[in-house]
Amino acid sequence: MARSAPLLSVENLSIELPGVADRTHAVAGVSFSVAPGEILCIVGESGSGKSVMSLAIMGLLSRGLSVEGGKILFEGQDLLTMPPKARRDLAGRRIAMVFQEPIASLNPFYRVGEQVAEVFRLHTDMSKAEIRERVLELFSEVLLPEPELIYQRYPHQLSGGQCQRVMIAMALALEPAVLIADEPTTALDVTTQAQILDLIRDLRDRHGTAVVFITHDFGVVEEIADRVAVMQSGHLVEEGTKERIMNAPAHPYTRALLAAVPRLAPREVQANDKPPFLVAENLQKRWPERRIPALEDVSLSIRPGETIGLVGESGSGKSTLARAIIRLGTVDGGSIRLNGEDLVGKEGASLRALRRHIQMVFQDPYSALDPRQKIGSALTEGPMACGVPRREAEERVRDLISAVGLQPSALDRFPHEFSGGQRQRICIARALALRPDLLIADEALSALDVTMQAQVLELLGEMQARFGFAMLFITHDLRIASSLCDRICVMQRGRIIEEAEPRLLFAHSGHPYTQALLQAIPGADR
Amino acid sequence: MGRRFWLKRLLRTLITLWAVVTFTFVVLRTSGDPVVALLSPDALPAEIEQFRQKWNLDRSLFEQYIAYMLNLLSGDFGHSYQDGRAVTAIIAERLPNTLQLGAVAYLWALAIGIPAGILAALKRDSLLDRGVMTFAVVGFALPNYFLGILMILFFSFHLRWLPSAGTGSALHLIMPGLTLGFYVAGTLARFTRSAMLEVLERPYMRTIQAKGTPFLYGVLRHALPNAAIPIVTILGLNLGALVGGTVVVEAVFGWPGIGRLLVQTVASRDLAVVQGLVLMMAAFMVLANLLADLTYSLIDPRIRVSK
Repeated sequence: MARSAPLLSVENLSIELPGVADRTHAVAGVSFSVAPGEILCIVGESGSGKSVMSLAIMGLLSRGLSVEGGKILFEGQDLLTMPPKARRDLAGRRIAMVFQEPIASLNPFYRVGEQVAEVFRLHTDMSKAEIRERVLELFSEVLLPEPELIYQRYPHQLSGGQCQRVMIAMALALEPAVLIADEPTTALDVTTQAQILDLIRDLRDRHGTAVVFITHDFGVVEEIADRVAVMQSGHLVEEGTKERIMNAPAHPYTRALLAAVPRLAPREVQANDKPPFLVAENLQKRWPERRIPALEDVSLSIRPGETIGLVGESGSGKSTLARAIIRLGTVDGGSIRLNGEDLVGKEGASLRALRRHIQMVFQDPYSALDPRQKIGSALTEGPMACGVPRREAEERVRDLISAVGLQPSALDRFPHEFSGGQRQRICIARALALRPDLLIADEALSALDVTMQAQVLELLGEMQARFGFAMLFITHDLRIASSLCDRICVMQRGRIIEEAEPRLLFAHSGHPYTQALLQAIPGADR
Repeated sequence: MGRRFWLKRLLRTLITLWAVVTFTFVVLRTSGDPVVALLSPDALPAEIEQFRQKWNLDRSLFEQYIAYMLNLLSGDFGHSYQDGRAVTAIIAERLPNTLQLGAVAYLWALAIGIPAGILAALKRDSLLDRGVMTFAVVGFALPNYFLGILMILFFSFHLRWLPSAGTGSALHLIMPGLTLGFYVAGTLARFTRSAMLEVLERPYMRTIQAKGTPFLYGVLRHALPNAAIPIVTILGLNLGALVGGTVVVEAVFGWPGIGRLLVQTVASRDLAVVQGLVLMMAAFMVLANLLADLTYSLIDPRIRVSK
């Protein structure tokens, strides 16, 4: 099919970075275009300049960034030379945007219905009743349950997926010609992601919207793109149809990105007949005022050196279970025995002594490190609190920091000097400094882009081979779980509904929920 | 926030007030003898004895304390050692003057501090921003009495525009009001600026721009209500600072309010009056903070409306 004339084209766009940055330009001489009804995916790692570029199209560049040269043509008019008022009039009406963090992107002060209604108030002269009617229609269109109820809700009362639907409803309110979606599904779990992708595709089909979709995940590209543009360090390195880029990538960077995409490839299970060292039995937990239990009769046993995957959507009870095991949270009933000792009744010093055996790596490496504490101090703190002499702790930490692929000089630096991937390495080193028997990784890869994910995944495997700890790996991504785990437990509504080796689980899953999770994997049909 | 929260709050308030009363009681009575301050140096031993008996000063500290607390619980704040009038009557006579002064100070602090903070945040790093921040630093670095004296020198002695002390007209209110509010205005400007800067960086402000909203509309309708949440807390705390400020400012400008009354009665060791004033000021501060917390929870939907 021949492409129709482009609706939005970016020509030779350059955006300068402030002097202190590690490169001179966030975006350097980038050109691309998108036609009505077309979905263009812009792919690249974090820091490749894709978000900055999309913000430039919307006229939302943050302080310190400025367009150095180039054009952004919309229906033939250059947005960059347009008077501010005319440009404002286009924003929200003709060009709309959906952002990465759905909950944070809505104003906590107002009801979500009012926030969508505001778009109509600003750009049309519809009556109050008409606007309300239209907002409710939009909410149904983006498949929000009970639109009347949602209209009255504040953002903090909705889930991430619901907030993203509200954001999409807001973006589509005035049927814009162009929709820019900046990683709109990165913060969501796989099933919600699949629904949002469906929604965007469907809206494109019905309204002929041109979509610029920014992502780092080729699985998502596979699902949604017509054409793909790949960005690296501010440059557009390759552009073409989805088929061409996916099947015959020309640029080495594209090939590297494609290679990093996790595949649904169940690993060979290692024989393990050691007796389990951690046994959780019949765990129960309820949150007050919620119908669905957080944990319902959950039992789990972990053998030394084994890796268990815990998968399920957000809210299924994965993190509650992990927090119960490390006793960061309490349970209402059941027992957790670590080497025969029950953790549930333990308090104070005896609990601290047992906790040493279980360590955790958290989702967000940016907030998991104290910004005012040097890495060395953060790493030695744990062992020293458990009675390891300073000299020995320091030696152990020096060894670990090189094991996770960082220079020993890293110990004298602060967290802000490291990238997200490096920080997650530091967090892993911090957890391993206590020589734990069990490492709990709670969505430890979700905040990283694909290349980082692949590296950290490899690192975890290496460390496990070297130190022999068992791992409880929590994820909503079955692709990652399959490549890493000996056993996978699928959780839904506080229960473990299925538990099996990856290969068996994928081949013969009897449970519809597991099948739905498998279906939702981006690029699963490939 | 349920009933439990407010009950706990009430209990804490009562404990605070009790601690304040007890502390001032002990300190006042162990740090000097009212007889020395109130009676003339050549008073006869019989006169002194009679004075002590009349005000129970001959009993042990503990007995005095129990008697005072029991009276307090029945609503009796005691009587002035100097003229025997009820403490409540003496305070009631002076309080309106202080309230008037405080209201003027607070209003001008609000009217200047908040808009200045907003403008500074919007024009970040500009000359205006630096000006506002300089004003804020001067505001809370310059002692009240010094600013008061400078003002008297300039406006009363040099320009002869304003009366240097006393009450009676709106002109009398200007200098003490400005002096008292200056500190609060500076603090408010600074906090408003940082609260606004934080809100302006939030992802939802980007969404609001992406909707095509006019700049000022976005600031007033979306940024300001969110920034108001921390500002309200500062407002409550500053109400307390204002009460403290009256002690100095009223003394400098000869303003017949409770601040000056406190200075006079401390000097003359009129214990019952001092005790009553301190209790009232403490109650006022606690109440102001309670009010701030209440407002805070009312304006923030994340606290008002549970999940």
